[in-house]
Amino acid sequence: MWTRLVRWIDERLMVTPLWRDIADHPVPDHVNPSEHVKAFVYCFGGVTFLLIIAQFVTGMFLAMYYVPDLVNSYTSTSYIMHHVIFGAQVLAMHNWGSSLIIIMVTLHMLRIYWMGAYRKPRELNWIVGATLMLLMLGFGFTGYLLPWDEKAYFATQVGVNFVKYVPYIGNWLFYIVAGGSKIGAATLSRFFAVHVLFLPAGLLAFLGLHFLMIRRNGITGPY
Amino acid sequence: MDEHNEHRAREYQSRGVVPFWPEHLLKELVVGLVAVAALVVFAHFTPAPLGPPADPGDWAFQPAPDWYFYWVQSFFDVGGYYWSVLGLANLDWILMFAIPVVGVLVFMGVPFIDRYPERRLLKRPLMLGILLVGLSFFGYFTANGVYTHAQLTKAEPMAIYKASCATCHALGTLGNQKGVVQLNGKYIYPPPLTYVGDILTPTQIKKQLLSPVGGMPNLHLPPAAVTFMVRFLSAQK
Repeated sequence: MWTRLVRWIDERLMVTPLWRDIADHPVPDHVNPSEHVKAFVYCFGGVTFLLIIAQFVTGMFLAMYYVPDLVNSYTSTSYIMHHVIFGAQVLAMHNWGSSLIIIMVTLHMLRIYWMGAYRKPRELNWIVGATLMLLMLGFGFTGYLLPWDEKAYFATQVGVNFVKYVPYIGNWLFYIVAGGSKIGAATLSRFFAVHVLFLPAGLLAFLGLHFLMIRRNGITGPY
Repeated sequence: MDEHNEHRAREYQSRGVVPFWPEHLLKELVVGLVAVAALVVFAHFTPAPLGPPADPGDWAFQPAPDWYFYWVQSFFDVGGYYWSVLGLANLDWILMFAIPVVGVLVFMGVPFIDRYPERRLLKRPLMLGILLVGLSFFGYFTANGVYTHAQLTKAEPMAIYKASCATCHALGTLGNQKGVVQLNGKYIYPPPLTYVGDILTPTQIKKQLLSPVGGMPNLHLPPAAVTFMVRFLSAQK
């Protein structure tokens, strides 16, 4: 059955070579945690990717109930926590998952730095990875505002005020980031858009580049 | 297993590699799923924190960032202080913009800074130095941010007491020790708060703050101030 289905698709699209390319590409066994216990240090990047997928899934479910406006952002978050089935679990996973991703990304980066794995020919991949790190911090910062509780409001005010210090265009930039001269309804809806649309788009693009570059350059080591 | 797979397996074995699927990915997935399982369990026992709704007029709230942003706030607080001590307040864009940009450029440019032929970190002294400086930078400013926030939070109730309560209420040797003449000429004796935690429960203290009885005016304290004062007054035993 399965074979016939694959053959049916292959007759039209020829996907098997693509799949074989992914499945058969050789991975050195020094990065495999079941071969060498100390190879767990090579897992942080993959774990981060899995956690990103978890964030996507929990985030999609949260978006079913969350309403990004001045009154309902707080009440809908509270509703998710207290009335939606598994709502508290999913919200807590999304909330703490961001911290876990930051930890894993940091460990991944330290491993690369420790081993000097960013050397030629992998310089560009370090830059892509560093951009991914900044995107992650952007996710953390924009996601923070969304529940619109006291902590969200005041921490965002502190954060957004930093852009005022950019020379010449600081005030204009504040206007763009906050959507007005003060933190308010426009800030909330644009942070929501950035958090769920702009940043994920950037994240997917840069993750794609990251993985393509790993395929092209291979994995470093063993050292 | 067909002939192709068997041939491939032997070839891979001789090269010390494994195919990505299923040998490598399934094993790595085990590590990843342990992390996700840990997240599921942790999230089950630790709900996401949700404070009171945002109130832009809440003067008592002490904002705290997420733990991984403490260093940003702390660095600019500490840096800003010394920057103004040095008399560079007019050049604050250097501290607030140029230095962060240089930081990001160094971070992005790591592969171009590292020109050592060796891989071992101990044989790359410059890179080891950058790593140690970076780790101590993040460590120091994170700890400093956490400490500063704890100090501010600790000092806040006493500041609120002095600003809002001390005119009428005594607290130990602080505040008003006598009676108070009200606007209507009546003379009342506001109870001292020295042992209020023994007399009133936290719920009663909160009720008295939000809708006071017995001649006390409504102070219209913002939510953060109420939270601070309930905790502070309940501890006065």
